[in-house]
Amino acid sequence: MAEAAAMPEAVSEIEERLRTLVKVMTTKAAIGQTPKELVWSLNKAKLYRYVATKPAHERHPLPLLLVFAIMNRPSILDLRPGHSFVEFMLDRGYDVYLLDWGTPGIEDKELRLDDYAMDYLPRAIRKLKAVSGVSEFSLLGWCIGGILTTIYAAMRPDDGLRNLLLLTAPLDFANREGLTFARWTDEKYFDVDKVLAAFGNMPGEMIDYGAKALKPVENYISNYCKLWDNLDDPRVVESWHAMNTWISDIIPMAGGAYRQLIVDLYRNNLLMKNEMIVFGEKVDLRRLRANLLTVIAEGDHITPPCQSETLIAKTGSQDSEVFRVAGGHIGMMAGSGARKQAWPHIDAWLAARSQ
Amino acid sequence: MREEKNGSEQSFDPFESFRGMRDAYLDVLSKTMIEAVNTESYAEATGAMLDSYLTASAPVREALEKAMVQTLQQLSLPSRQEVAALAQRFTNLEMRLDDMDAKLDGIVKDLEEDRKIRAKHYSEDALAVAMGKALRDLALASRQEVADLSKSIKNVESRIEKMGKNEAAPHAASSGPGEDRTQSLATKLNADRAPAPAQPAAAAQRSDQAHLSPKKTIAPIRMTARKTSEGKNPR
Repeated sequence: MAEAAAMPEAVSEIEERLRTLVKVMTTKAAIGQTPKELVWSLNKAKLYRYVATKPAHERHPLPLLLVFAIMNRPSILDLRPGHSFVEFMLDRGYDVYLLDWGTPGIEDKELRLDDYAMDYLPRAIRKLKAVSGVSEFSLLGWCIGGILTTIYAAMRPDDGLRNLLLLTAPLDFANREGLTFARWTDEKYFDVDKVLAAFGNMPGEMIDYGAKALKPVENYISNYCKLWDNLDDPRVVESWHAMNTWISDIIPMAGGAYRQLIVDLYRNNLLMKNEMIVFGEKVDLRRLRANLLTVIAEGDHITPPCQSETLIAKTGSQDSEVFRVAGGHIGMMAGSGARKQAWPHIDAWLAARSQ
Repeated sequence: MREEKNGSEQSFDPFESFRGMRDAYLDVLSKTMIEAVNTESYAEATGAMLDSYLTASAPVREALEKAMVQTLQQLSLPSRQEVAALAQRFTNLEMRLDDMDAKLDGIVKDLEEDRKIRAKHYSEDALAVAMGKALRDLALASRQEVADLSKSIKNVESRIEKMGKNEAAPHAASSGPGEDRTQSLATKLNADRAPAPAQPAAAAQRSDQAHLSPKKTIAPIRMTARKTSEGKNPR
């Protein structure tokens, strides 16, 4: 009798789990919810200013501009309430701006890193200065956004950039043995021009596959096992749902920029050699004089530490620091430990240099 | 006895050991796979697969593209390339607008700085009074210029009117008996030198609006000048 009663209970539990699973797998979580206003746009790029949570007299005078990668949505910086880097920085009194590159169309296939770093970014910064009424500012670049901000900082050292924060920025491609991407995109095996001739832009699906194939078991199996095991834990489900929403919202990368990333950086490491040409001018990292904080994730398999830790020795910055945190490429800023490790350190470093 | 058995069954999770085994297996598999994808052979294999896919799909893709372009042409619809070219032009326009926006921002900034500099030397009230005075002077000067211009036009019109009358007088005189031509010329000369008589209201209004209808004003002047020339202007 008791066994018969337990059966429907077990069935209903499994049914509930399946319902949760279907919901999580087929719907999108609300991410990037912090209120913001559009202050500038050009082509697909948009500059947002987040609504301040502190009164003006309690805010730092220097605005902070977040520059994300060009092949992902920036909503990972503002994942969900209580787990948002943007929200954290607003509460710490920063005037936070976000540059969202948008989704490139086929008409943008010729856009290069030159255009992003030295045309769109300076224009957005000009608008930021006009809106904020300040002449100095701080820049935070994540991943490819780190490449763009580094190029900008080296080419426009007198443009008012006081602080540069680089998060998991792939800048040094010298250690080819340690870079799986470098091996995959070697010219012996990978014809970048043929791919771009076929698609124009680098398809988001291929970029997504590349990122996931670095750790195939974790991304294609373990991740779902973890969800299945915790379907009765709303906190885990909510977190997983938000992260999955961000990961599955893939966008292509402009063809010209992708070609440069592969040829100039992965294959020839031109940026670190001070030989990269942007709009006809060499990018000389010694001209980068802004205060510099490089944040490295020890477990980052997409941008291994060897790609970020060597920059400091190459720049002309008098105030630089490498900060290492546990976690992976995304977990470093969006994981459960981010609020305890990475974010407070970023705030402390920046606050001391934003007066 | 049964209750004890039920209690132990509730706390027992038959999947727990399965999960442990699964996780251990996945750990091993994960390490193996990470090593596998990080090899030259994997890079070569994926590169070859991608290359063969691109090679095999290229003819199909090209044929589809051609067919699509032809279909769109027949339907009088723009092709993908044309839409892309249009989008690029829009972006160029946006950039030019952004350039103008930058210039405007620069002007606003300069004005703001100028205002700050002035504010250092004048209080807000003094600045407002000074600006008000400057505007008033400008308005008065403009009004004076308009008045002068209006007066000049009136003089010209009255002279034209008089000359027109004097032109008509000799003809009338010559047709009448006993009229002296010398006297007629002296009368004309005196009339030219005499101060302008008060104009009728309609004439004054016309002279006020003269600047609004230049053709009406210019035509009589030309005609009068020609007549004067023919009639041997006494001057």
